[in-house]
Amino acid sequence: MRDAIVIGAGGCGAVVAKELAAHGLDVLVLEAGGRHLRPEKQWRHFENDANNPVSGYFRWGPSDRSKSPWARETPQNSMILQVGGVGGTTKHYYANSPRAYPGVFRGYPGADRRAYDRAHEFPFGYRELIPYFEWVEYTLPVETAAMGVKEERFLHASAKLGLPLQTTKDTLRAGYRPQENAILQPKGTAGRTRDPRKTRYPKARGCTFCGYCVQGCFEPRGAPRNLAAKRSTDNSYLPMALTADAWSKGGRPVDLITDAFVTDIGTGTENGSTVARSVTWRDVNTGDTATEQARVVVLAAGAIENPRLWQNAGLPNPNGWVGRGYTDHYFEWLTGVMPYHTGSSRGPGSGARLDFPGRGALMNVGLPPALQAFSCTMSDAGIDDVYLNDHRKTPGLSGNGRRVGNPLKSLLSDIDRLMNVFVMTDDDVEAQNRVTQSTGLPPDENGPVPSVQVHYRERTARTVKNREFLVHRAVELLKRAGARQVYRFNWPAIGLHLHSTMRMGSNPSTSVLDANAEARFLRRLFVADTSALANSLGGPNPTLTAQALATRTAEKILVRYFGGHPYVRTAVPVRSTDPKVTRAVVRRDL
Amino acid sequence: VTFGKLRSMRRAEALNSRASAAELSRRTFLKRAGLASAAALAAQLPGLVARDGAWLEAALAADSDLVHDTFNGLVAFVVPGPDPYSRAQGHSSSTPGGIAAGATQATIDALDAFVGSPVGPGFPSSSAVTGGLNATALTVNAAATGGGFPSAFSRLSFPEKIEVFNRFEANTEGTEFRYVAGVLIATVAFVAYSEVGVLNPRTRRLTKTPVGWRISKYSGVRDARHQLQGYWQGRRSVQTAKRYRVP
Repeated sequence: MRDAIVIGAGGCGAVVAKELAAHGLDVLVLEAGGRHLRPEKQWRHFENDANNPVSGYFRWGPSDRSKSPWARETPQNSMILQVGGVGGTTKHYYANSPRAYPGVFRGYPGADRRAYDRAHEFPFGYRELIPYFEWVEYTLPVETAAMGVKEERFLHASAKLGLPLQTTKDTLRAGYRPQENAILQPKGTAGRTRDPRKTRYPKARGCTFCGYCVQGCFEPRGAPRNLAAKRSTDNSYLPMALTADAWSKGGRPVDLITDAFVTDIGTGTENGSTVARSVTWRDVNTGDTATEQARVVVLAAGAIENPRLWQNAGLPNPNGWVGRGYTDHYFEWLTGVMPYHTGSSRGPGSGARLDFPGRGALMNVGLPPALQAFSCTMSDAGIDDVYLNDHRKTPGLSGNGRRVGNPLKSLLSDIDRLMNVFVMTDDDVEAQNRVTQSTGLPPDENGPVPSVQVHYRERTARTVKNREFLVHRAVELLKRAGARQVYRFNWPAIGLHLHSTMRMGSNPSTSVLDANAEARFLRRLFVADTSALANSLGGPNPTLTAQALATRTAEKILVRYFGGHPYVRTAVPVRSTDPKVTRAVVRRDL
Repeated sequence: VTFGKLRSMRRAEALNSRASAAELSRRTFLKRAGLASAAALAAQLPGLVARDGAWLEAALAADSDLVHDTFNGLVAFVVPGPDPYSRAQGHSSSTPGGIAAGATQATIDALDAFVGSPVGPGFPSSSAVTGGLNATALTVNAAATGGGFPSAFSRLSFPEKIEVFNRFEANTEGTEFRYVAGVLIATVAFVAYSEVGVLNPRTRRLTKTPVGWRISKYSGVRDARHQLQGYWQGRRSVQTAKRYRVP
């Protein structure tokens, strides 16, 4: 019997695994996708090769790319962009690591407290999470982003809006700032030359400004895996979990099995309560199944697969909230055509942002051409203002909806003169937005497939109002930056930030997890990823908060089931770049 | 006129003649989908495609030539170039477009490999999309003759193609097919601006500069860029706000 089985080696499963392994627990990590051990050879900077959702090496599907991706039903205009395999979606995230807004937590005393989704607040106060934020920020580490050209232009325009510069980790009021990114900032020759002979490790350390956060990070070339610039968990937490004995006294490395799709969770009874007892998985390549017992099971398979597994395993769901409450930041995308060079296709994916607590956030995003084209053609508002479906024209813009034909070619005629603004809305938890078992698609080899249902034209009035507020600020920003044309694309439901489908909460009738992230109806089962979030955090990117919460959950597991003591407030964390980790990574050829 | 084009034109005639198309295409589809009978087909086709007779007939009639012809018309619509499909729609460009970028086959492949297609197991999504676009095209302008192409969609003018999408999206709202209607143009745009047409799948190296890179003035892939501008106001780090510091 294992001490713990962690289901999923993505952005948060790797965090829980590392924390438990550091304390000597016997941990098995099961990952449905594959593992890229040699990214310098296995990955390229090519967009379709990496991010084609059907055949790219970053997709939700088996590691064998000749096989089809795993099925999901999305019965609306939408696109889900999740990544399977070790590292999960952090492999193509931009590593933006802001903290959640304080207003989404219980007991928030601010004068703007009514501006948030109070019915679905976190079941504890913001201050409770601070030590866990700091722990993760130190471990990754999270650092203030250096500027490329696009960041400098964006921040100059932001300053013209009359907002203050945010100078703390915590967002206390509306303001602008360079991003806090989980990226090792440039040192040595990094960012200072494009000469490949001069940009290998260790001449270059940290971010080389290549512009491919979204294609996975293996820069600078020649660096040990745990010293790659972007701190996706395949570069940070998972190497630590696999080498826990090398850097933690009493630590025990985790066992990792990839291509292992979990299909069932076995249960038993303990003191009159239903408890999780075992995990069954299917070998993706051979079809063989295996089962192991565990004292604790940790679900970290993502906001879609967690409820799918729960439902497929027939686990208890007495209040019907498993899978409900899906939030996604109701994204929007605007692009300005600038009269000057922005270098939009170069440098870190996103290095500058504005925060509007109670409303959401804006950030600058740079993209290579295929994803830029995708961003300008994904819409719920028709084509070039000819038809808008149910949407209205936004005043002062050069166009709404998709650009198609020569208008698209014209817009993209010089990618390094664009400035993109990505809108992340503080969206409400709504029971109607949910993950359930598909009735339209037949089961696949892993069981009934999930149906992700987002009522994207029926969001709450607060959600819609927040988005429109942010759009108007984005237009103002782009015009202050000197944009000659500004386009709004009216994105439909884009699944990049997926949260709260297994939400924790104070109210037992609208939450799946208690305040410790343990399932209310199935003890010894914890949920430790973005699906556990109580809400959409007010709009900030979710990874850091989910990782901080996962760290807290690991501590709760240690204390409740393994006789451990709280350690985060008293111990000193080890950085994922620590020489002890590096030596072990190199020696073990990880 | 090539043999392939002649064959496509005959298929198109069949498309416009429902009675003959039904029998011809059902056989084609059943063979392609590996299904034993029409009953099995009917049982597996959900929602809109099964409900809408015109769509179903058009989808069933779509052999690979018609699919390719229709997707050429679609790719030219999204990223036009100097090709015949762009010229036929009255909206072309002097710089190369999506067809030259290799987006037609890449889009078909992406749709057909996507098991999550709402159309049904084993049913090629590209056939369903072909059916949907051509059936809708006939409602917009059945008399269109642009380019003399087999595909009704490809024969339309650029504004008429926009109208097809207007109706395509409205007709699919609330159905399983809305997903495909939504992502179709974005999928074409993504692959047209990517390296897909010039990437050697064996070596995973480029054979020449991708069209999408040339028409967007993209500087190409590099491991490093000379872009560092320093830190905003020289600020290198921030801390927890005083009010939230934990002793």
